[in-house]
Amino acid sequence: MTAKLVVSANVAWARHFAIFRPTNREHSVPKIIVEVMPKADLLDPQGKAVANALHRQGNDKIKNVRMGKRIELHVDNTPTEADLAQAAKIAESFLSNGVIEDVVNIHVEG
Amino acid sequence: MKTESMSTSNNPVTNLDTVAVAATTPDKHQPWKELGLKEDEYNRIKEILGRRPTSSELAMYSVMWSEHCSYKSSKIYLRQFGEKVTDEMKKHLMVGMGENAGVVDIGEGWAVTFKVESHNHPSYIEPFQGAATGVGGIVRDILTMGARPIAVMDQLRFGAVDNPDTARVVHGVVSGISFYGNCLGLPNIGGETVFDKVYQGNPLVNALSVGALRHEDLKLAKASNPGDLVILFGARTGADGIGGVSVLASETFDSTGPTKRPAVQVGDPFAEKVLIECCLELYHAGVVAGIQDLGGAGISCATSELASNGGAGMRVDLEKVLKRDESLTPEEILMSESQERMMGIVPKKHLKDFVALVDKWEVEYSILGEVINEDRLYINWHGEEIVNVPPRTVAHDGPVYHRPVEYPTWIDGLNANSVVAAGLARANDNATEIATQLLQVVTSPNQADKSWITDQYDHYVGGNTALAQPDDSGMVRVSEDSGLGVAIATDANGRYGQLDPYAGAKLALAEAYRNVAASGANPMAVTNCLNFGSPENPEVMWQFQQATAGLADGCLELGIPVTGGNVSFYNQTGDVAIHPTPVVGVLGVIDDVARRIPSGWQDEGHNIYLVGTTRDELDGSVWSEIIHDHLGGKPPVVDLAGEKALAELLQGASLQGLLASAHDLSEGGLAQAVVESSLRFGVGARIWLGEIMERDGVDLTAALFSESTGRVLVSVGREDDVKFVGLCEARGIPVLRIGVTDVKGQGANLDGAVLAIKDVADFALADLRDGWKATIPELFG
Amino acid sequence: MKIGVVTFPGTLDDRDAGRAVRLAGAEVVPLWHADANLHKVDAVVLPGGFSYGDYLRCGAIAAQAPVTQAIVKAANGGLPVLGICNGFQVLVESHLLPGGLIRNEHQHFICRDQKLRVENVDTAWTNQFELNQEITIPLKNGEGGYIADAETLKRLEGEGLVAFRYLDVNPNGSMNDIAGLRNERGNVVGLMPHPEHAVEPGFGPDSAGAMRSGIDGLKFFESVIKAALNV
Repeated sequence: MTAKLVVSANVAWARHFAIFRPTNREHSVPKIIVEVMPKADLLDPQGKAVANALHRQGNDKIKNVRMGKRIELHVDNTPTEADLAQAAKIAESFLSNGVIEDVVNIHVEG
Repeated sequence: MKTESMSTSNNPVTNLDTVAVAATTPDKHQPWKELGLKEDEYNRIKEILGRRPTSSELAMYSVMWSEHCSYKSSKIYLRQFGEKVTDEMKKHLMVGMGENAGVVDIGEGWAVTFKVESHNHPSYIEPFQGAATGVGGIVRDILTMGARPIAVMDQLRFGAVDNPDTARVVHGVVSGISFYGNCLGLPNIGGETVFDKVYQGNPLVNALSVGALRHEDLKLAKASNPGDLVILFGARTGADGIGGVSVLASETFDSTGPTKRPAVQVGDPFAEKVLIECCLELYHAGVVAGIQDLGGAGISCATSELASNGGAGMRVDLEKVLKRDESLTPEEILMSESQERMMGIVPKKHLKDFVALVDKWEVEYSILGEVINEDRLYINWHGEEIVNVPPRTVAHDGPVYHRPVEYPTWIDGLNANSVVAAGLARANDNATEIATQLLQVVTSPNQADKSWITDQYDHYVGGNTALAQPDDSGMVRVSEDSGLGVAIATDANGRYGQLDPYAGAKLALAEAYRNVAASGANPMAVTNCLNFGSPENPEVMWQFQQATAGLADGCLELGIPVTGGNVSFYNQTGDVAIHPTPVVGVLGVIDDVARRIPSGWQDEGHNIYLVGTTRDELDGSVWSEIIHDHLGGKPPVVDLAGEKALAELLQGASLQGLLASAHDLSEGGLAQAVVESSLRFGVGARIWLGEIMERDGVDLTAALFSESTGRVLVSVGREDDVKFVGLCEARGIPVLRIGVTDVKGQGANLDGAVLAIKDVADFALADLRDGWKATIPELFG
Repeated sequence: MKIGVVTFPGTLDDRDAGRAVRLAGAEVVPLWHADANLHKVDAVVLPGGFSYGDYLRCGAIAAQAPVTQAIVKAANGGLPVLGICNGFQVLVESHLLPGGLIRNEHQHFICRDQKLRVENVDTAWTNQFELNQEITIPLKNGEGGYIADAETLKRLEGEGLVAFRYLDVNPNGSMNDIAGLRNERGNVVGLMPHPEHAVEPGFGPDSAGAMRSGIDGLKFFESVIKAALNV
């Protein structure tokens, strides 16, 4: 029991800092990935702030940074074409705001 | 929403350390040391149980008997707050120390509950989340009393402004408080920010919250009726902060940085906002018999405290806890500090209504068990008994230490090295030099404008904020019908504490008391957050002993009780402890917030009075720090009887409507006060100091920068002069006219507004403002 | 006159909006997000806060709520709707107003007394102001930067659909200093600042007269009552 308790604390640390030991469950879940980015010609204050920070750290080769979202839709079975089409619909109507964002990628994972 | 945990035998723990196993394997090695327990404590647990503890029981005892949860090193001193109390002082106290927060009757059937708490160590490790969850935790304590939280304040101490790590902590902490407090919809009505190198590796993040409730809505954290259900609701339980309490707050950092890294909690203020609204509806529906929030030590604390407070027992099926992470072990679940969770005691007959309300707010819940008619806490894991303890021994009968106390002989040298003994140069005859010193003092980081910080906090939400930063106290209206309200001020001075911890605590109390009175409110109750170094250092224990005595004696003298508070030990890196920093919060009541007194003058042609006596007291002052980088001597003398008389004077004057403004004098002395009073509304003034110097026998430097106590700067309309002076004289309180208010500055450049201090300089208000406002943004913006 | 005030999970300024409605002289009807029934109110306020924790995008999830669907329908039929801060974000996500609202340029939440110019007084919510009147309204947000493509901006300016503009200081990098908009019909108004925090003497922004005495926000609510009477 000794090792377990001490290890528990360390595992908690590992979990907290996202150094995950992926469980079996994570690997086998089929997912549709939706990637959303702010529209190219609009202001991206987050991206700008990150770029500034990177430059301050000496990363001169990185010209610009843009930040978006990766959304995972976990489903029960391997996604069909119909599922992907539905995902595209959801992505356009809800997961992104067409005024300020573009859906740049939809694909299947896992 | 769901009542079933999703873990039903997905992951039964093999080698489960049950009570049965523990009874038959007495010699099994257990990591009591790694969990922070001492050998005699481990033995005591064995004695209590009559066998070795299971690993789950060991986890519970280790967190609940940690310094942070059990107050084992401070208990014997904190008793004073309950002992040095008269019946008169307890008159308005509805709930005293020992509960989640103290509750004070403020009249008209209203009560308020308030408390200040620390979240220091997590804020060094992860400043954003540390500060955010600090706010979340104290707000939940207020909610748990049956109150609607109505305001927050924070007291921050960071390292030196020029140390690169300070910015990391400042940005994270301020953002964290902003993020969490704003998202909860709570106005931030004040606080303080201090920079000093002693806090470099040990920043202090203290958070205060105040809530309002009708008398009949008071809730207590107890489970007394066998048959009542034990329900955990709110966020799911995850791996947050496991061991945070026992590990972090009970260990000092070594000088290379934090040794125990992981135990930081992550907060979700949206979840807490929903929880607040849900809980308030539960309370008003009368469906909850007792309630406890889950903070440090999570479920271990909630179950044992509810049972112990209620004088009954509990039977809990731990696998019913809704988890974020299905692989959590029972020990981890018991120690988890996942945020935004509450434990309610719900009579069976109210279950349906309870479920309807939590479903309405889409708050998840699970029924963990029930209250039983036995003085025992039983916890099962999938039908196997893993905890079987007497709840009192976990929650209340923890170890009580009598730590060694040793007088720090170095303090004699420090006290001997006063400003006078050190022969610190004064520029009394050099007007230009003294003017420069004034600017240096007023624009120094601790004295400069903090808007860069406070503009990141919402102070409007709720529509009841009557006073906020930069005024002397935060004031919130409680009753929209009558205007009844409360004012809160918090203060501490680590430099004074280092020079004399007993006086330092009294001085913090005096200042907070004076601030509340200067706003027009009547001081009534006290909370405190005692931030100190390691209790294993006998000299730190001496400081703690002194400070608690000073605070308790001070409260007795002023006639206002301590209603609750918090202790934070282990604020030290290696051998170097922080300065003793007891933060004292005073709460006052005002019959109508419309009567509040602004902290600066708004009209031209009013007379400016200095109430109180000025002595040559520059030891520990801002002037000595900024001009001479000096700390030595003894802090200013405290005269609590005088503070009381002053407060009563201010009350009386305010009730008669005689005061156009009042601003208390503290750090930075008279110079700071006149500058702040002028800049508050951009109205200039002409000040002369000759009479003060003559009457009180002080030189120009002392007149400007001495930090003598018991003093307030007021402005009075011409028509009220005679009455006001008469009031002072009748009460035997020294008062002297030292100036007149001048024109209001026009436009963005405050054209025409000047602060003219005779024999020092004429300061254009715009220049003063620009300098005073520039310091913090230049450092951290 | 009955004015509905919506509460989503995470809404913060509903009680203050309610107070503003009462001070102006109308009756408050609380509207719960899950209830698509508008209870025959004469106008609706979408108050400020962090509905649904600002998850996904500010106001995005709230825009899908049953009550919001009902409001959109009613607004298209002429019901006066005022969106404040998060409420403005909901209006934008519901496409009742054009454009988008993003993170403040300087990345920080900011709470300040903001000077605004009222640039359109032909709406249900601004008819009690003078054209180009300068008012002071508290502002408090972290995601208040108004953005729109060039074409939309041109149309907004050209058709006089900008209702409020920031003066002296642009606190969040909003394009064209736009603080608030109206729709073509004039029944829907959205703005980032919070008029409900400037309605009661003693609790509003400082004004030239006295500390915390600014009540410029009250006219928003007086306007909609006037508009209802004129209908």
